[in-house]
Amino acid sequence: MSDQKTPTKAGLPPRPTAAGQQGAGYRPRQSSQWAPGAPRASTTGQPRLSMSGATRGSFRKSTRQSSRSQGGAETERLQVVVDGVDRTPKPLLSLNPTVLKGVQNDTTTPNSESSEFFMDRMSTAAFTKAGWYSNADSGTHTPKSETDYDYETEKKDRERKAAEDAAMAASYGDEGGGNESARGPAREDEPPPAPVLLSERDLERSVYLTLHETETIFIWQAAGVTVAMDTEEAKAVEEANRRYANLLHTKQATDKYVDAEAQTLVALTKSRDVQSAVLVTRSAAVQATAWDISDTFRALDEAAADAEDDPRGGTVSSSLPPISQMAGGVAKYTGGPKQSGGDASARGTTAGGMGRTSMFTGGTSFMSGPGNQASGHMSGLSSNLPNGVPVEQTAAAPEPADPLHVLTGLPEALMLMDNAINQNNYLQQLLLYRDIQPLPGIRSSVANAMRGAVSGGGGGGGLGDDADSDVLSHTGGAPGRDTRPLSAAPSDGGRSHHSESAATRSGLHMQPRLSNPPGQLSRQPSERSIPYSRGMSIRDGHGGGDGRPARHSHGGGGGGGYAASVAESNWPEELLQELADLGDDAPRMEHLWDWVCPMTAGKNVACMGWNKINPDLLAVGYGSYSFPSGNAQSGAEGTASSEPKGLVAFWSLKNLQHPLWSFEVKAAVTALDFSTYSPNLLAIGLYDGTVAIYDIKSRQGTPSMESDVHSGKHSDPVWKVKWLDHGPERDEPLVSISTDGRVTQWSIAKGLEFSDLMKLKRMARRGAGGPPSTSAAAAKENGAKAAAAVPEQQDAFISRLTSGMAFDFSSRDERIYVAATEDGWLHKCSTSYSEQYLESYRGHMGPVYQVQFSPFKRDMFISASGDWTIRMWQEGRDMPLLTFQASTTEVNDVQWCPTNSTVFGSVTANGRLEIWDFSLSTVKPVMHQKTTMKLSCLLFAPSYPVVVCGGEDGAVKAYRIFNVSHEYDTLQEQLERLDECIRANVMKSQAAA
Amino acid sequence: MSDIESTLTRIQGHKGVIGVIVVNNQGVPLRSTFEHDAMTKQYADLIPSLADLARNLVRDLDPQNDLEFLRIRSHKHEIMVAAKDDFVLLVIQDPAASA
Repeated sequence: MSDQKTPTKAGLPPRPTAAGQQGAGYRPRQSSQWAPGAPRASTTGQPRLSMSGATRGSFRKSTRQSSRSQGGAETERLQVVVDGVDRTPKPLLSLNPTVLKGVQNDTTTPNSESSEFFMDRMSTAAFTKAGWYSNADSGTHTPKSETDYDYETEKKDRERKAAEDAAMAASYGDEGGGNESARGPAREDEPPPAPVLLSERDLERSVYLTLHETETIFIWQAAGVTVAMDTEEAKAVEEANRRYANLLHTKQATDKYVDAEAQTLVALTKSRDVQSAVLVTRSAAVQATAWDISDTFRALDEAAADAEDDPRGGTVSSSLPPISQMAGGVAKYTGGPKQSGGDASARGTTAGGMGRTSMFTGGTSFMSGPGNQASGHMSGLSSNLPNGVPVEQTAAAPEPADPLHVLTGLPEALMLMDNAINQNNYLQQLLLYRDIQPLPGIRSSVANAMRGAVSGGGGGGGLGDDADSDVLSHTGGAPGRDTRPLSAAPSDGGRSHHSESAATRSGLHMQPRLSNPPGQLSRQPSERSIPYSRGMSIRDGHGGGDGRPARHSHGGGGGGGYAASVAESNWPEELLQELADLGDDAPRMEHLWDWVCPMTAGKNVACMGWNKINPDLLAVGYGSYSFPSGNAQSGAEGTASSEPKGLVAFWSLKNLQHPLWSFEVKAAVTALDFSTYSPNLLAIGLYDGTVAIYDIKSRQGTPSMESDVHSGKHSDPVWKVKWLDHGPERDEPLVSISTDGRVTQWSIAKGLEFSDLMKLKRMARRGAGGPPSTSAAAAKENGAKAAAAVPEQQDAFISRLTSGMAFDFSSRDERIYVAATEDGWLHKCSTSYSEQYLESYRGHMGPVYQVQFSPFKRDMFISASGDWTIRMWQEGRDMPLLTFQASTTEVNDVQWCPTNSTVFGSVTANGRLEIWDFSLSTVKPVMHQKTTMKLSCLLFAPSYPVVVCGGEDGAVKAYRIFNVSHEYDTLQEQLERLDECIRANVMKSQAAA
Repeated sequence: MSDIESTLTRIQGHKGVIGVIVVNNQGVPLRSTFEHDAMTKQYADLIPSLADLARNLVRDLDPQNDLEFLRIRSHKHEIMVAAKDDFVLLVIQDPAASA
């Protein structure tokens, strides 16, 4: 504003005076084409003087103007006509001359018009003048009409101003032309302006500009009508107010007081001194929790460590963006805290996170700063955490492929979720597996809703198994037993708690009724402290064992899939009767689930092994070819090389439908075993003879150690591997047995070193090489079986070595082991002697697929053979103690039950899973389950009443067995029962013979 | 890559699973099996904040600890939440559903 008032040394022509008029401040929106006279008058020097306030000046000027306008009211006026319309700007401030004119020319004013009082005109004029004055002060009055302006005055004014300008320009030399040319064309009475001509000199002249601060120009000033209470002025005002009130009060008492109406102009007053917007204050709080601080410092420490390790900082390693990024961020923070200081303090987050956040916003703008601020610590958390990596990744890989893949930890979370859903779906089965009885309260309230689902699932599985197993053909009486399946089976899906409890109650009812002897009743609630009286019958013993509370919980916890697998049409009458007498406590089994997934389906389950430390982890070896598993037939070996790969899968109870992990191996897996003291080591025997050791902790599908041709690799399939438990102090050797006839011990101390424990030499069926203590009875049986089955090989052997199929070490003497061979012999060997057998046991007419020492009686072992039989042996007796045969198919595997000395399980090639209890019967298994596939292996769960078996369809089936385990019996009791059974049965068989 | 997809499909195939939603840490649902967006949005809005609360709790108790999993058992459903830094994976399952 008022730039032309500043002393400029420049030769620029003076600007049109409009700017100056604006500087005078009366018409801020005035165009340059029209300059009214009133401000013109003031420009002659008034602004410099009007420091104190424009209002007084305006009044003066307006009076002056009005006095001038009296002279030239009829002269021509200046008009701006644009497109035929009168566009003459109107003044924003109208000091309406009509008032003053009206006063002096006796024209009327509104006030004077309406006043009918005795006030004279002059006083009215004075009054209105005062009114205008206040109006001008308030600045709310709008222009009335331009016709009242005296343009003649303005014109004179302008001419005078032009003369001044010209004089001023003349003092600067030849700039008058420019000055003249700048005159607005609106001045039609002026001569046409000279054309602007800039000479060369003008361009070369030095131009000096000095800028000064102009004086403060008050365009408008209105004093407030209120004063603050705490100022000095307030007292005076109060005093004045009081006096005025007093005056008003006393006025009414005077004689001149008239009560009459009057119209006055309302003086718009300014009621406050200062007006400003409300100061908005905002407070942002940031929460720094303990863990936030902890994370920040940990990230800082890690970053510092990284920075030390890698002096190059964030210059390279695009493969590791987060670390370098983070290091860079921290370096930025520590190196230049001032740089982001203001930012950080403004947001107030913890320092480390802030430095990184600001870096992110600068770099990738992935994380928005305001968002970080607004959402407080939570987004601060995401930026603080050291593994909040996808910031960089997201920016670096913007391809729209799949946003899921940039999320770190998603696979783990999915795995977790998968497990959780599995746990939900299989809750009932898992509880059964764990031998946990659901609490009645839970069952009635929560589980009732899901009971239909779970038991429906269980029932569905159970129903399928019912179809498989030949059930429910009761021949013997046992009317009490019928209630159970009948009440259970029809309402399988949604069996109510009520009916089940009824069934349980009926079972409980039956118990005392059936077990008639009073001694039985008294023993029923007893614990194991009461000694067994073995003189009782088998049934009594069993019933007494079953009388425990835990047993009843089994019965009550039986799910919907309960199938009366104990019933079989062709069972001996006495066994059926005994089972019937047991009533609800009869051994039975229930299918829990199949461990199977599309990856393993169709592949033959060749071997299984529990982890010794984590008993919920089951390693399963698969070989997807059709070799008779556990069976070495020389015909199959020819095709072994072209067979597809094997697979090892790790199943757990956490997820029943997907293995925790699995890896492929080069050949079919035929044997595996977990190490006891290094539970992460898994030994695997392959069909091609390789023995490999995997570290499953590393989750790499490559073996840590592997035998090759130079390091004693077996030349034929490895049928069993086993870690020998020699105590925690000594190392844990691995022993393998193979078709090539070698029993090999492997040491992993330095690489994989081997030493042959034994080369299994072929034994003659009969004659000089035979066992020395052959009894007459054995010889007789020998001869009969040899004649029936295998052609004699008594003179010359084609091969001196025989094929080893299985072995087991004695727990009595860690050097003693029994090796099972393909030709039917069992050899007791010692690791101390690699040349000769300690004892040899014969009886099997076919290959012996499995041998296992009893967990209770340590000199007793059991063997399963391809000759359809299972035989029980004892050291020192070359003849089998007992022989079991239930079907006319190969028995592929046999395992002792770990909790009952008289129980073992077996699987057959035609798909039967059999659980034998030779305290009940040596003729038939007490229960069996029929599957449609060939079964190759089974295992008892180490700590739960569960048996798992696997077969050629790739499914590992888990069965809960009820009323079998005697886990509360002492070892002594177990041995006594075992001895008693064997004695009775051996005597019986001898009597039969 | 395909491992994630296969696991997702497996989860969806489980008995009683009503919906699977993956929400990133900015509240955007990346994957949902719900047909209705409103349902997805509702879950995606509500559950992560609860998971954040739970994580705060866990970590306040022990800064070295962290939240792994969160299960909400309701009358009708069970909502299972796996909350990580980058995302929240939530599965709504009806345990009483058959097959």
